[in-house]
Amino acid sequence: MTLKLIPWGCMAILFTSLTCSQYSWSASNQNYEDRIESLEREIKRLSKKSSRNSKSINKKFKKSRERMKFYGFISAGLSRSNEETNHVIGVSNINNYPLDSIIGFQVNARVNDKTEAVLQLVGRGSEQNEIVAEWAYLSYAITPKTSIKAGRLRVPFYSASEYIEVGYAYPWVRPPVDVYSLIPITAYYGLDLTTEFSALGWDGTFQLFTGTDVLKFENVGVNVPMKNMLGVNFNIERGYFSFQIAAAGVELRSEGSPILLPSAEVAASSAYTTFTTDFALIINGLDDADVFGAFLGNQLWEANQDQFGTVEAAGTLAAASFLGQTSTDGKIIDLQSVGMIYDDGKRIARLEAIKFLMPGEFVDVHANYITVAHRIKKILPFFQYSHTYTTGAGIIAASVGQLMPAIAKAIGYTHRTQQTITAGTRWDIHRGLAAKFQIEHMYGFQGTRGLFESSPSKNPNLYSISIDAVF
Amino acid sequence: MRYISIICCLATLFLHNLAFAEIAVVVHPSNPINDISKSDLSRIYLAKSKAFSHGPEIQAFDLEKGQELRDKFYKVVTKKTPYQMEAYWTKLIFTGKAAPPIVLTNSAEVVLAVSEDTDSIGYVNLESVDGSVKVILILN
Repeated sequence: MTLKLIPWGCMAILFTSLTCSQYSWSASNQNYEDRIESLEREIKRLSKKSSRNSKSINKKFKKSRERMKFYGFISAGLSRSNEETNHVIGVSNINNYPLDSIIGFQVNARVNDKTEAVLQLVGRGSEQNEIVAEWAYLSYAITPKTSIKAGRLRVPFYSASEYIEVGYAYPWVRPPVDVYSLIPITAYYGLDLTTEFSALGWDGTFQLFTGTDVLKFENVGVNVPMKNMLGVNFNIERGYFSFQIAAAGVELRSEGSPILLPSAEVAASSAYTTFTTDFALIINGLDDADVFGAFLGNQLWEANQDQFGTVEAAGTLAAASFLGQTSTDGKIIDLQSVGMIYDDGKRIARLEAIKFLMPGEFVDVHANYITVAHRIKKILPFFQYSHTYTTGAGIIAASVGQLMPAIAKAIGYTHRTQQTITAGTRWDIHRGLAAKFQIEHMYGFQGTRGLFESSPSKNPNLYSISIDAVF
Repeated sequence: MRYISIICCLATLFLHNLAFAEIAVVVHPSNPINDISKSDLSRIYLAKSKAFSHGPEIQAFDLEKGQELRDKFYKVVTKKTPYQMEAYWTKLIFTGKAAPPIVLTNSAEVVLAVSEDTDSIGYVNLESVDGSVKVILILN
């Protein structure tokens, strides 16, 4: 019995000792854990304290850095068409790589809590990289939601017109030319009052702008001095949708000042001097210069045509001279636009329609586009249809067009129409870096020159690639 | 019994993952706001809303580009991808409409920055939250 009890006793002792040892092990383990935990807490506290000190310094440094911010964008592009005649962007069937090449730098300097100074310098390949200040303004926040800007500003007319040169911000190589090439003013000297609001789940901005600059019709070699411009831009957004409507009235310089001034190159030519002297002598004796000017221009051209190399050159001079003698009495150009953007991250749709109601000398201009795109990870293929056309019976179109069809056609004061189908893709290589490729097929000229310097010989294609970055 | 333990294990794993995915939106403890909707938060981080309802101008803090937490935050709150956000800010910056939030390197820095600025807001990994800030929304 005793013998029998021995193993049990041993086992009991063994069990008790094991339990105790386990208990004591777990007790000491608990002890260690507690100590480790308290040490960890201490380390955490100390590291937090030291990091607080170093980070406060960092923060101070960062705050001061926030006062001056530097941003930049760059685009490098290559475009080529299969048509001899120059497209309005200057591309023909000869490689013309600098056209879409743009570099911009922006400095935002915070003067105080409410005032900021912004300077954006832009160099364009198409202007031999001459650096111009597209933006240079002071902004003052009247309230957190309302600010006033004064200085050199961009005209907020199209949905992309304020960031027209920042290629990274949009899907295309360049904004649709049928629409975006038409506006003769991109920046102005003046004031902008912007206020933000929210209502019924929509966020909006209302922009009122006024100022002045010179309208540049570069493809006909004439500049139009502007007396002033007054415009509004109303934008609302909700979820994936945003809508925009803009309208501006541009008053041309009035009374006694010519509506059109020739470019420096045209003005310097001896042909222009002779032409305008003769022209002025005759036109001064007339009461209704608008109506007869074109006819007289034609007569003068016939008399002086040996001085001009081409019909186009004569046409440019005739138009510049004719309009140069015409008083505008503060005539108004009305610009109107509506636009919509849908972007849910995968599917994008953009559409915009614009209308320029011109003074009697010109025909009215209309243009619109629709872009649809579908994102597949980093690739964004898109398709686009765009259309530009003119309506109305401007004096130039009616009289010059009738009397001097070749000239009128050459200088583009007659009706113009063109349609474009574009297929392209954007590839987001990295954050802040994208590559794009697009093919544009232009057609529907109906005998006009469309957006070409003269009527194209066929329905041309335009091929473009670009790399866009922001930094 | 075995099934129950498997379910328990899976549930623990799931909850563990969930805990890692949680993002806390924080403000200064003195801020009278106690909660915020996703849409109001989205408007702040898209620079559409620039002031708190009680008046002061908002100072938003952001994390550096490329951080997983940042991408997740924007996806959940603004429903925008990193590329969309990049293009969105490009537009706002170069049109002078708004400046992006101040960028900090990690959640701890955001907690510290929010704790030191009464009119600020930030989003952090829930695990980084301490008593120095007030949580007004937790995002999964």
